[in-house]
Amino acid sequence: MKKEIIKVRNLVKEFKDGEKITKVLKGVNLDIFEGEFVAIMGRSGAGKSTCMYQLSLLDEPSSGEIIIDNANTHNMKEGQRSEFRLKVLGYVFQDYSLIPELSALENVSLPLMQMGHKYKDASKVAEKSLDQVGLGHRLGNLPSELSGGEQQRVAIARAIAHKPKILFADEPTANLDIENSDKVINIFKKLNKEEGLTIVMVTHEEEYKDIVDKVISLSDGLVVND
Amino acid sequence: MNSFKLGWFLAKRNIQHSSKWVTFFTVFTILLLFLTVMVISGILVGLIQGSEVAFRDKYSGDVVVTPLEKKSKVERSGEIESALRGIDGVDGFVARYLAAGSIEANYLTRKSDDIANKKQVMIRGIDPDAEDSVTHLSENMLEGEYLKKEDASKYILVGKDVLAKYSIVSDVDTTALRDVEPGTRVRIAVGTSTPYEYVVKGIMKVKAGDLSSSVFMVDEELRKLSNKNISDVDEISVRVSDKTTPTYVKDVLVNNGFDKYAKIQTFDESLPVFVVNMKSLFGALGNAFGFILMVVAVTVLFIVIFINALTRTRQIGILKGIGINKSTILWSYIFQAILYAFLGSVLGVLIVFFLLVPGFQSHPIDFPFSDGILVADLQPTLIKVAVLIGAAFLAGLIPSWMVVKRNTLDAILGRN
Repeated sequence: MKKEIIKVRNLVKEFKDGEKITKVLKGVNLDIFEGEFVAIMGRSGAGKSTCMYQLSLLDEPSSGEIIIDNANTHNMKEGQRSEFRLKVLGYVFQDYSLIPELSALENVSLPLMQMGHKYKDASKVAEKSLDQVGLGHRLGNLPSELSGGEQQRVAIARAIAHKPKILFADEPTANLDIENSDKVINIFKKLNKEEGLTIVMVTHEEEYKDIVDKVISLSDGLVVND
Repeated sequence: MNSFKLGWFLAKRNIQHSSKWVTFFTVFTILLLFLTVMVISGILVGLIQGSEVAFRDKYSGDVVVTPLEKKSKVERSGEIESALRGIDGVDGFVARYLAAGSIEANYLTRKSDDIANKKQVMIRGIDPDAEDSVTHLSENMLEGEYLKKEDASKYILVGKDVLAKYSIVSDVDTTALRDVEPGTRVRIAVGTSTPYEYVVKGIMKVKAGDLSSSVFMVDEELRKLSNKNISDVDEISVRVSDKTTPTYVKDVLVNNGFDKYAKIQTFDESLPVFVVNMKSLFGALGNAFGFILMVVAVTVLFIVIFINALTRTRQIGILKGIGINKSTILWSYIFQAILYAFLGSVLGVLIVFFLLVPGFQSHPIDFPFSDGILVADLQPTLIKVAVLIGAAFLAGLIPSWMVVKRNTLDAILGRN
């Protein structure tokens, strides 16, 4: 039986704008198991990105419970959340989000160095990670010297170098052409199948329904099918 | 410790890959402000110290022997001179005689109802050779020639400020002598005695004390005019070698009991209180200006770091998002501010000590009353560098903290 790695109960997220309160998530319940490749889908404004930000601890919910890898994240202080993100989670953002002053190798090494690895050791691990996404020949290039697809693959290498338990991806192919989108999705599939990495991907692209293990559909702030 | 090291790594990369012009102008601005701090305080202090140094080198020496209060002469001057000859480390000394008197110029040509062109002056009786060996007085000739021992009854030297053509206050000083140059005959009187005629042999410009307002003549001639004996010395200036200190020489004289017969002081002790007070005042003024300029330098750093952090708000959000510590991010900006401050101030120190100080020494500012030099001591300078770097710490911390404390997701999404 598969182990539950993310458990969400009655997740609510409200945004206040003066007197006006907008409820984006209205009581989300969901379970994600270890090794699953999950797509969060829904129409624009359904709350899929907001849901992922809560699950990935980038934001704090208004109420509800999120348990990740048996840790109740509700009780975590800011520093603990930051350390949890560093050690347990990995992130791929829509627009690559690399540090422009750092080479591909340094971008990937950064979280490892924060975890306490020495520069040389971090570089070795980062090199392997970049090799894994097919960029072993672009180690010294700055982000500005890489194509969009290559930058997104560097972002994936950064997200997986420290062997996270869950990889969160927010519309990772939205800015890419078909060829590069396929490359990114193939890397995700490979990481999921070969390394058993749990992947939670927010996407609006219907064709990915067929390649993921599970689709969580959101509509008007609620899960409509799981 | 990890955040500290990683912060340094990020700061280095940030500076390496950011605009070279931003780095250049930031460092250049800090450099200019640092130089201004150093030059303003250095010149204010140097203004006084320059005149002190000049007075010590050109007249008073390192140890000064003068009459006790209520005494008109240095008592037992012969014994003091003998003692000085026996002290190891005394490079030389010179005894002088002083007298208040007058110098008159137009007595040969004026009509009976013309006002005498006469000026009250201090007359200094010197041994020309001994004086020159100790104070190099002959190097201060503006016109004409220096005195010789055998010039006693014939020639004198006149300070430039005695003459209308050189005096900086000739507009208001109606007594300044007109139409006097080397070869001109003048009359000298000590007190109310009968005036004697001498020829001006040279005109001196000595930027030290009131020497340019004095008249110099051979000591034996002044003794004759003022009815003084050879032992009625008014002052002794002692030059001390680098091997010893003025305090040591003073102590030897005091230990021999000469302090009962004369006031024995090192040069620093002999400075009038107002000079010491003025030096402190100028020092305080320099520090006040320095403080204001330091605040300006820190504000510049603050603005640079704030703009830098503000334009990278999203990057800071991403860094926080992937788990990079706040302290790592803060250190990266603190190090940038410190690096700018360090580069600017170290360049400033190098320019001050290897360019400006030697430059001012060889080409002092020509103030009317002294040669202005730039005073820069290493220790206070290093303190200024340390203060600037300490302030740069805050200039890096505060603006970056203002950006780093923002909500992570808001920073990533660019929400206000």
